[in-house]
Formats: sequence, C-alpha cells, structure tokens
Amino acid sequence: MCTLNLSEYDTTTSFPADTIEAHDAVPFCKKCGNQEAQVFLKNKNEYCKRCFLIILRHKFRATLSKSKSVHTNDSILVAHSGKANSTLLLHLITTDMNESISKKLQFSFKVLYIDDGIVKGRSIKERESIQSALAKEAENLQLTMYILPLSNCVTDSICEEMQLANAPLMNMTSENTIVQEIFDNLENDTAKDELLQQLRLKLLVSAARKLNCNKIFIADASVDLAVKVLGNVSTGRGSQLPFNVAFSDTRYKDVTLLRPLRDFTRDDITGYLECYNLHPIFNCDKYNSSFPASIRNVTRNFVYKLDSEFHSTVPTIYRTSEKLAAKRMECENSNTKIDDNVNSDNNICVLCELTSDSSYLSKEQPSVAQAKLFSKLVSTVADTSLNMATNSLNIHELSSNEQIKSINASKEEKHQCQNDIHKSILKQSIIEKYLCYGCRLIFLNSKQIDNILPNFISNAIKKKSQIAHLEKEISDFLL
Amino acid sequence: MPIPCSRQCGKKAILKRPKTGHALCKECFFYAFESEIHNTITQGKLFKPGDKVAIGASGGKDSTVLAYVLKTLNERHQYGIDLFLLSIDEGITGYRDDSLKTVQQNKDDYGLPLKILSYKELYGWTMDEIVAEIGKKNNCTFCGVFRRQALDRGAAFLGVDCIATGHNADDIAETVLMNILRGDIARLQRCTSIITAGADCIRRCKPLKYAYEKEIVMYAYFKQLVYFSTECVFAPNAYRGHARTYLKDLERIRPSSILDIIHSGETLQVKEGIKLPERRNCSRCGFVSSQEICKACIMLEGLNRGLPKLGIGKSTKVKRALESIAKDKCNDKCNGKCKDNEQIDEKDLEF
Ligand SMILES: [Zn+2]
Ligand SMILES: [Zn+2]
Ligand SMILES: [Zn+2]
Ligand SMILES: [Zn+2]
Ligand SMILES: [Zn+2]
Repeated sequence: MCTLNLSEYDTTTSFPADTIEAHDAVPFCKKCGNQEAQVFLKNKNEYCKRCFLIILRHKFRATLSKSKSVHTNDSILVAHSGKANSTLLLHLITTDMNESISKKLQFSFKVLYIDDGIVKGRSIKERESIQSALAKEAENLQLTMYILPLSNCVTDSICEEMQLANAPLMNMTSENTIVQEIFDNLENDTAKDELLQQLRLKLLVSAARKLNCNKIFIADASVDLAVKVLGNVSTGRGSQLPFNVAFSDTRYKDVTLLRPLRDFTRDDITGYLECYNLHPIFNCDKYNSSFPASIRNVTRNFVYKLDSEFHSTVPTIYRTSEKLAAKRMECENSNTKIDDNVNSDNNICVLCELTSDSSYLSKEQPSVAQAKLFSKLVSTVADTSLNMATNSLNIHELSSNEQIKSINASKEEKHQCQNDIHKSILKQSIIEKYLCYGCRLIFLNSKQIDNILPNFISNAIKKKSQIAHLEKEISDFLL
Repeated sequence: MPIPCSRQCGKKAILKRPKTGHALCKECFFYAFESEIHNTITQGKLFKPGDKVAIGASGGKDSTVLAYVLKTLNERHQYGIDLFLLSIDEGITGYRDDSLKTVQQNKDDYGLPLKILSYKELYGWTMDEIVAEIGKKNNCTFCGVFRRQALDRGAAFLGVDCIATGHNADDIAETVLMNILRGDIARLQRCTSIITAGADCIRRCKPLKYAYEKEIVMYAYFKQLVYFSTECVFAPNAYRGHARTYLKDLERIRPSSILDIIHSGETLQVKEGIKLPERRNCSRCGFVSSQEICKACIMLEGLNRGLPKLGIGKSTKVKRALESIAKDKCNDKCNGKCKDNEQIDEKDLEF
C-alpha cells in the first residue's frame, strides 16, 4: 500500500486574504481539516492542494500495487498523446522518480509519441511546432522521448529508426503517403478513426519491442474507459471489452498494456494540471475536431454529457464492463474443443490481434452476423430458388455460391472489367476471413478495396493462408 | 435517371433500405422484409406446429406489423400455428380507447381472433380502482409491477404456448445500452436472446429482433396498415432520452450500428464467478420473481386486505420484511421509469 510522507510537500500554499473575505465561509480540506479547501470536486469533496495531490498519487500507486503488474526491472513504454491524460501521467511518473529511493517506483521508462498528423490533416508547420513542444517537454522532465510517424506502419520494417524528440526536425515532406491514400479511401470518419486507433496500437507495440520494453502504459482515465466501453459495443466489439478496457491487456505475448489512470476522474485530471500549472500540447477542442462524425466522437459527447448530469454513470459503465467476458461457445462434443485449440491462431484477427468473435457464435442459432448476410442476399439477388420456402438455409454457403455466380455473370457481361470485379470480390472474402467483425466494418464500404489493406495485413494474410495450406497437406498425418 | 431495383427485377427502385442502403422497388422490399422475418423464425425455431401463439397487441406500429407479417407467413409457409391477438386493458378511463379501437381494426382486417384481458380479470382490480384506493401518488408503483406481468398472466390464463412481442432491433439495441448504463449485467446477458423463458413460464419470442424500426414504419406505410401512433404524452426519463438520442446519432453516422450493438450483446456474457441475482418463481402465482413472493402478489394482498399502502400489512415479521423489500424496490424502480413503461407500452423492456 502507498504510504507517502506528507512532509515532503510544501505546506505553505497560501490564499490571498481578500479571497477569504469574498466567500464568507471557505470550507476546510476534507482530509487534513486545517487547510482551506482549494480543489473542489464534483463529488462534493473539497481538499487543499497538498492533500489533493497526495490522494491522486496514492490512487496511482494503489492501482499499480493492487494489481502487482509492475515489477522491479520492468521497462515501460509510456504512450504520450500530447493530451491532458498522458501529460499528467508523464508528470506523475517523473516526479515520482525523483523521490527518495525507498519510495521510488522501481522501473525504467521511455516515452513514445506517435505523429498521426498526416491523416488528421495537420500541416507540416503544425506538426513541426508539435514536435518542438514535445522536445521541450522531454527536456523539462528529462525524459527519453521518441517520435514515430504513423506512416511507418505501412513500411515493411516498422520502426526502422526510432527518432528522439529532441533530434533535429525530421523531414516530413519526403514521407510515405500510402497511409494517407489508405485513409482517403475509407468510407467515413468512423472507419478512419477506428483504423487509426488500430494502427496506433500496432505501432506502439512494435516500438515497445524495438525499445525492449515489456510493458506499455496507456493513459486512459475512467471517462475514457467509459467512452471505450460504449464505443466498442457500438462498433460490434463487445466481446473485445475484456482486452480493450481492462487494466491489463494481455493480447500480446511479449508486451502487456496497462492502464494505470483508470480510476482518475475528469476532475482529478484538470485539478492536477491546474495545481502544477501544466499545459498539455493539445487542448480538448483541437482534439475533438479530428474525426467529428466518428462513433467515438459521438460517444464521447454522449458520455461527457451523462457524466456532467449523473455522476455515477462513468464508474457504472466501466465497472459493468469488468464483469463481462466473451461468450463461450457451447461445444457439443469434446472434439470441437481440440479443433479449436489447433486452429486458435486462425481465429485471430490480423488487424486487432484478438480472437475473431465469429467463433463465439453457434452456426445454428440466429445471429446478427447471419442476419446481415441474409439481408444482403435478399436485397441483391433476384434468384427465386432462394425463395422463402427454403428452410434452414445455409447462408454462408449460399452467399459464397452467389459470389461465384456473380463473378461468372460479370465475366459473361463485360470482359474488360472481369479482373477488377474478381479481385474486389476476392478481397471482400479475404476481409471476411481474416478480420474480426469490428475490423471488417472498417473496410466494408471503402471506395477502393484493392490497395486499401496496409502491407502488414496483406503479409499476415499471406502467411496465414500458407499455414492453412500446409495444414491441409499434412492433415492425414495429424493425430 | 431512375435508380434500378438492386434485385435486378427490372423495376425501378422507390426506396433505400435503412438497414442495408440497397435501393429496392416496393415488391422487392416486401419480399426482403418478410424473408428476413421468416428466416429469423425458422432459424431461431421460434414456433412449433400446433403452438398457440399470442401476439402482444397494443395497436402500435410494431405489434400491428408483427400481426400482419406473422399471419401472412403462417399461411405462406404453413407454420401450423394458432395465432391470435392479445391485448391488455389496464382499466384507466379513456387511456386505452384509441389503441383498443386499432387492435379491433387489426382483428377485422387480418381475420385474427382478439382477446382483450382486463386488469379486473387478471388481478381483480382495475387501475382506476387501485388509484381510488391508494391515491394518484403511488399508482406508478402498481402499474409498473402489474404491467410487467400482465402479458404472462394473460397468456397463462388462456393456455398459450408462446407470446410473440413486437420488440424490434432498435428496441433491443437501446436496451443493451441502457443495461450497460445501469450496470444491470443480468438483463444485459438476457436482453439479446431471441427466446426467453422462465422455469415453467411461457416462451416469449421476438420475431422482429433484426427488423429496423424505420423499415417497420416503411412496411406499414406501403402496406397501408392502420396503426395507433403511440406518441406518448409522457417524455421518456432523462436517462433513456439521452440513450435514445445517442442511438439515433449512431444510426445516422453508421446505419449498421443498431445491429452492431446487438452483435456485441450476442457475443458477451457475464464473467465466470460473478454472482447474478437468482431468478425463481413466485410461490403464489408461479411467475418469475426475484423474491419468494412476487411484488404483484404482495401488492394484491395489500389491496385485497384493505391495506393498499402497507402491502400485506403487519401480521408477521417475515411478511413485513418482504413487504418493505418489495416497496423499496418498487420505489427506486419507479422513479420516473413508470412513465417509460407507458411509452414503451406492451413491450415492457424488462425481458
Ligand atoms: Zn488538506
Ligand atoms: Zn479485429
Ligand atoms: Zn425489385
Ligand atoms: Zn412509476
Ligand atoms: Zn406472485
């Protein structure tokens, strides 16, 4: 448990005399009782600055120690977004590091900023000024901070060179623009925002590996987690909640994602920043403007509104998510179970690297996945053979038959575009095969499906299909 | 230039499907809409031949379309089910007049039998009589509790095998969201099931589970089905109102969101080791209850003994405890939520 020595803080924080007169009854700090309250929280708690900061520090340490997930000699990569949360997290860790040896957090850390300005429509000038602000922050806090442009995710060797924030400005004009093309081809803000989140995560994990970090700190506060819960549910990622909002996300074998600010409220964060007079590089308004019509943004507005009207909503939402898990498939016989283990790697989505949720659904029961396929079928196919009399249709089979049919049909009709159609249908089925329900939605209605898949996805798909092929060849000899 | 129907039937499209975005002609829309419901019914094995199926009918758009489509499909595909309309009359003067008139109309138009059960028949009391006993202030507690059970009681009374309700995809998505906001994991786990049933309770099913509200309205419009617009005088409570607006916003920016939310619900379950409130059956009436004796039975007992506000009164300590539990629960449940029940009507979202 956290036991902080109170005397290490400056106790002479004083109020100007006239302020006290203006409010005839200035309340006292709820914790120490002898200082006037300076921080007023929405839950009606009032503290003096010193106590408030002690409480936050305690909260942070308690989260880490309760879970016992950070150990001596851990090397941690802190994801820095330039926004309030991670600005606080960096400050919190650095000031903790400066404490006496006995209380010091026993791990080393590095910081990574992913520059996604290219897809957020930031000018080179803006991005350069962001970089110099980061360099300044790194210098002030004496951090090792790296900057990684998002465009790195489409190059074959992710994170070839890790650039330090205080290195000379990188040359952004020569930057790879494939990533921009990929984003331009996506259907809408939601698809763009979702892909960005996934790519950022990929980069973050690759960078951690490159920098020999075994853990990553993500600065999600409670309200961010509530936004993620509803955002996940609304984009068909409900079964991924145990990873996407958990304190500890263990989807990668070698790198663990941790969310040490999960119990911090919005008040805590603004209070902390005010107490230390910290100014995040991005303020909220600027942040919100990136993909305004995305589900995440709409969800954020909704949660913030609820949060200001009903104080208990945010904790209720994220505590609810803690009690949920992906549905277990009820196996009729034990054979299916063994099969599942063998093929478990095949059920991993190549983008988010979580188990594809189609494996949670029984084929016999009606499900959204099947209802969607059926809707598409009855809205596009004139064939009367799939008339309503057809009992217990196998939709999957039917729809692939239909795909083949439509390929054939298009071959007859227009020879010149046969290849394109063939390709696009192939890509469509690849998307369905190797991506989870949520990731599929990102690419579903993209304008040009052909060059839309980032390299690493295509590579992962190639590798998977090769392995599947090999498995088939040796299947007779597997016991 | 006219847009051709995407089923390549040769006709020109007159609508864009809210659910999929496909442009369809009128006939192909009917075909698609009905096929989807038929598919839900057969795949979900909602009915067995010979089943006596009650359609919970309020006269609203969902139950009107449900009644029409079920009758059509039953004839077309020989489900062999015995369909009828079941309405509940709470006995509030003037309140049900219009909606019952609509249900009457449905009965005549579709040639389906109609059974109207009153609170008087189900509970021995009309809402008007209850209000006279307890005053206007507490009646919401009663209507909420009684309404939740009315369809089940009615169905049991009539020896029904299955109740089909008009919950559509929008309703279910909204319920998923509400249960997350409320932290009600037990209901969250249940609410996306297409069939729900208690121990010896009557099956409840939702044939419109994957049907979009907008398409239900479209279907009613093009089929010229008469329904009673259940625009309610009561505003939904602030919470549900926000959730509803949020869902509409989501649908606007990505129409599949409604289904995507249901998909999330379908692939989630409560973690192992997390305790859920036990569901059992009331020892008096046998309906699903979280207590030994259900709230409805406790309240009825109180009414019948002339102690409406006290529930079953002071005879024993056990009963007093029961009563106070029931009362507390009702009070916090009904905090404005009762108005919701009014609005959602027979489709009480307490599944
Ligand atoms: Zn204090
Ligand atoms: Zn995925
Ligand atoms: Zn047509
Ligand atoms: Zn009420
Ligand atoms: Zn009972």
